[in-house]
Amino acid sequence: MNRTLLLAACIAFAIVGLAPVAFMFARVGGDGLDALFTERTLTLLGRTAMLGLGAASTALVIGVPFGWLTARTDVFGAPVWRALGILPLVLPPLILAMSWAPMTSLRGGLATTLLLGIATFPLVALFTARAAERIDGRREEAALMAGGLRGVVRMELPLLWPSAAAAATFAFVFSVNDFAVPDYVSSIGPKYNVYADEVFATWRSSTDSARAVAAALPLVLLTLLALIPALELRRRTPLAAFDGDFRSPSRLRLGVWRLPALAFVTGVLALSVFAPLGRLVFESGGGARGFSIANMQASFGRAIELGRVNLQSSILYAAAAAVLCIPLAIVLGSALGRNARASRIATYALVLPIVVPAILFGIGNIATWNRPATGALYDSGWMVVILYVGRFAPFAVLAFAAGRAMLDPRIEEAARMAGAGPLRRLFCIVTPSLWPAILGGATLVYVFSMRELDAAIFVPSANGTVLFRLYNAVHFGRDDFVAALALLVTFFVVLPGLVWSTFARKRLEVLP
Amino acid sequence: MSAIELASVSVVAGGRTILGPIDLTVSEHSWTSIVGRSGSGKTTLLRVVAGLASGATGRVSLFGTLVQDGRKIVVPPERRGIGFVFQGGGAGLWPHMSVRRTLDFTLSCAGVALRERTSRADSMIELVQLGACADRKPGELSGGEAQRLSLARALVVRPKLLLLDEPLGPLDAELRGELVERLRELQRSFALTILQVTHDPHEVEHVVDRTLRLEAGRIVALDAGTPNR
Amino acid sequence: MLLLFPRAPLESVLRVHSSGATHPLEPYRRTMRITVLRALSLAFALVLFSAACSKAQDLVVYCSLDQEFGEPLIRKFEKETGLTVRVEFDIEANKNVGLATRIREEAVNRPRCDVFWSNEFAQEVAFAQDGLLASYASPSAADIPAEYKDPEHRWTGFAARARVLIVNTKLVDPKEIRSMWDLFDDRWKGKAAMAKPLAGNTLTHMASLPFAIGEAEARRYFETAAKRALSGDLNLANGNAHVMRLVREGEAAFGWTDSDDYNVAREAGFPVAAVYPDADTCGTLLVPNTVCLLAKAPHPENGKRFIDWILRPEIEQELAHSRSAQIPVRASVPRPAHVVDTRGFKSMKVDYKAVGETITKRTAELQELFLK
Repeated sequence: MNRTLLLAACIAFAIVGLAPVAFMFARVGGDGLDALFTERTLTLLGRTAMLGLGAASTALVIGVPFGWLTARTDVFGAPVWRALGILPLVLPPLILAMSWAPMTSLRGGLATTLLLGIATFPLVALFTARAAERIDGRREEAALMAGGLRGVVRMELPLLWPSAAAAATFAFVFSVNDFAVPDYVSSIGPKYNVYADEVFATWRSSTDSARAVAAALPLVLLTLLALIPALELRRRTPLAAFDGDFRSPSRLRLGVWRLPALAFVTGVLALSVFAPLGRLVFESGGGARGFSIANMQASFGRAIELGRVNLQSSILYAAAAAVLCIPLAIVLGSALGRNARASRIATYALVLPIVVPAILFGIGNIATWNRPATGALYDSGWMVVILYVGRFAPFAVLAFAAGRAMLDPRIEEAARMAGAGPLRRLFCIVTPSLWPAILGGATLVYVFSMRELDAAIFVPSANGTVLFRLYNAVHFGRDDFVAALALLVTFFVVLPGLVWSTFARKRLEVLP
Repeated sequence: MSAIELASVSVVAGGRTILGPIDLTVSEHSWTSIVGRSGSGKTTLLRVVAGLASGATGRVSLFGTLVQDGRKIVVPPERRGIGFVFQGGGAGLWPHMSVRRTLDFTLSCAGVALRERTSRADSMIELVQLGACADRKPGELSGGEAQRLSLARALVVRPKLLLLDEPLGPLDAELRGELVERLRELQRSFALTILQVTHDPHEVEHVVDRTLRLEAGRIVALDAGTPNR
Repeated sequence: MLLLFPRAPLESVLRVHSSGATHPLEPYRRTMRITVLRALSLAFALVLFSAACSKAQDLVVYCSLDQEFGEPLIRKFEKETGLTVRVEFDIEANKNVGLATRIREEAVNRPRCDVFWSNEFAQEVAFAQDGLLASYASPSAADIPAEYKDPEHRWTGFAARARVLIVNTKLVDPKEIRSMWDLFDDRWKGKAAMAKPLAGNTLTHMASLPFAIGEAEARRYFETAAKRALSGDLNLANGNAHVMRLVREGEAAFGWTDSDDYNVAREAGFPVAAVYPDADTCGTLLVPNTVCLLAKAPHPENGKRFIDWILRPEIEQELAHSRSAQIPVRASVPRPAHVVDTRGFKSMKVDYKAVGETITKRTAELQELFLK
């Protein structure tokens, strides 16, 4: 690795990703920490941890079989189901909750857990699917010969586990930081409060921001604690190296299990995709008060008319963020896989922007960028892009680092022996071999950027994004307009991923 | 002049000494084979010469130039001008590059001009008989073809030193004989110094100048080659 | 069988290999040309992007009134004055901490906001208390009743919303609901609703109660609400609009909401009615919009022009006729039939300034009670 390049990337990431976090935590003093652990907050924290564990377990239980079945078996329509399985990740969880609430009487903690599990299962499914595709075909054939389908499952599960566990950790992170879904789902019946609410309430109830930042610390620690075992597990279990010798596994024949598998896969999709999307379509046409195609046309017309500019801005910002994350991912991701101890520490620094609550990251961006020297940038649309890059680049970096770790080291060594310098090796050998991982990481950044609002709300130009318009309308009960706009957003968020998975031969490697 | 000089070279990994300390001199234009059991340090020795072994210490000189002094890498691997054929048929081949592109890229790394690169790559493709699959990528090559591509890549820049890590491994007996003959011819024509790892000393005993036997990371025997060479 | 290495003309290979000296920089020249081209096209894209992103502005307004109602008015102001306004809105999904937090944070290094137009008053009182506001007695505010204005002219109230109980008429006869204490009547166990009182107008409402019914009674109200919420006897929604949804769908029978949210349900034809409770005791709370000029406003003169413009009776009238059905605080402003006449009902007597000054403390108290 070229040191200048690495240094430049580290500085860039430190500025966009870590500086906002650092500015916030620098405010915390001793007195802010005093009031942190009371019986009440500990109860909230404990409940939040349970919610996170429950949601992550739900995501695992659904995601592992879903990912494996759609990626590796001959279940009918597998590629289509696999592409559709990304959708719940794309829909803001509150929209999922809103479309679910009228359809079931389930409320409270259990409903929240299941809903967040369903909203995050695509992460586990994606990671599992990619890990399953990396198992050498010969290895699988050997297992098939020895113990049939059951043998394959028993051989592969331990290999899929690290990836699935890492994904479940991200599901945990998303779930414990969500405050809108628990609040919404427990609006009828006993209230189910979570710690993320405490962070917000403390911002309202504190005269100084130190206490408010301190209130976020337990949540950050909880998230980091969850990440440690997952990252360690992933590090210790390398999968098959990806080199010229790798044999792709062929799709497994399920035999009599084909029908139950299809039922499972479509059942999961019915819960997580068809029901909410169907509900949105229904609402866009007028909902319970009189569904009609004319209503639907009218609401889409209105959504396009009012939301068109916002949609354009959102796509522009999200795409710019995705593109800017690529060089960061290549350079930082490449460096991560090298020195074990240094990379372990670096990984924890890297995930900091993801694990801090959105409100902290957003306000941290004001503190970082709203200065005379960077004022023009702060006022421009670039600020939104910078915020997206700072918060979501870790996903792209981790995806690249994982791909890099899978790459047979001899591929790069051979280039070295051929006389290629560090830059040439990185950009001519390593990077082209990992294009799917790079595009996959960039797609994740795009998707998360498109649906991000909680942090971006604090910077000026985020007012022009489509999610902002959407939530404004949610408040004012414009159900048909909201539904139409939500469908439009969904379409534009999944568009790149859907196009890729429909037409490309290579899959997007969107997993570490 | 000696091609390789190793003085007090050892490699420590995970607190365990996996090679050395050893001293070794390999003369120019010679063919040395390294034999020994699995885990005896054969591949590590090649990697020390290449500069790829992490945790290596000692003095390494190539053709009179000091390339490693103690822990310090004086000349990095990419500037040592060594051809390296890794163990295993397709190992280390660049999965996204076709046969032709692999050779072109290798030549460009060596600073060969564009107009010359094409003709040199074509000649090498012809030499290793990969013309029919010049536009295929490693994943589309058979074991033997991949092996030939590895060799072509190592040779195309005309290195003075060729390191071979069990290049005959995946081949059957007849092909092995063929390859050894061809390598012998190449060695003479290119004035190559070859250091080759093998687990079967008999397959190359008629062509090598010396055979070096390693056990638990140490040189236990250094035999002259057979006289019929 | 196919030979691994069939005979090939080795000599020709050697000949080619040894021929032709090359310029050592040749391959790099080509790479550099490509790199320069790529860098240029990237720079071009960046310039395009920047051009699309940056706009000069004459005035910056932060507005927590819903975008749907605030935006058309601001565009109208732009059209009438020729000024370019940058307007930033807030969202309830973020518990409305966005704009207020931004004003405070931005004030540290580089104030951006000229005018803050809030849909309630507590934040502005808190800003005034912290010295963030400039004093400006707008001539347009001359006929606004004194109780809606800061004595030191740092903020001015107009166009109010009422805190009403929205009732689903299919489930409950609106006549049965008369008091805010009805939420805790066991007859409506599990059927009454309010928003979690940690943000928005519900927080402002709860913070006003001690001034209207006394500290002890207010405390009893909070404690009863919190207790019933945790047991499920009282439904806690995540916002006033959500309460309106729950009631109009029949999931809850009645609940606290804002008059603008009620009006949305009414206009959409749901079976709902609004009760202005406690007419014989403490009365109904009116929450006015407030507008203020920031002390370090980058464009103070344009800010004043906007404040003069927005405080005119015509704007109150327009907001009264909009879907949000805001209640003009000037009794003389004409309004449609569904918007109450402030002369005709009992409003809660509260000192807005005092409520605003205690709201932070009150939030902490409610947080302890409701977030368990």
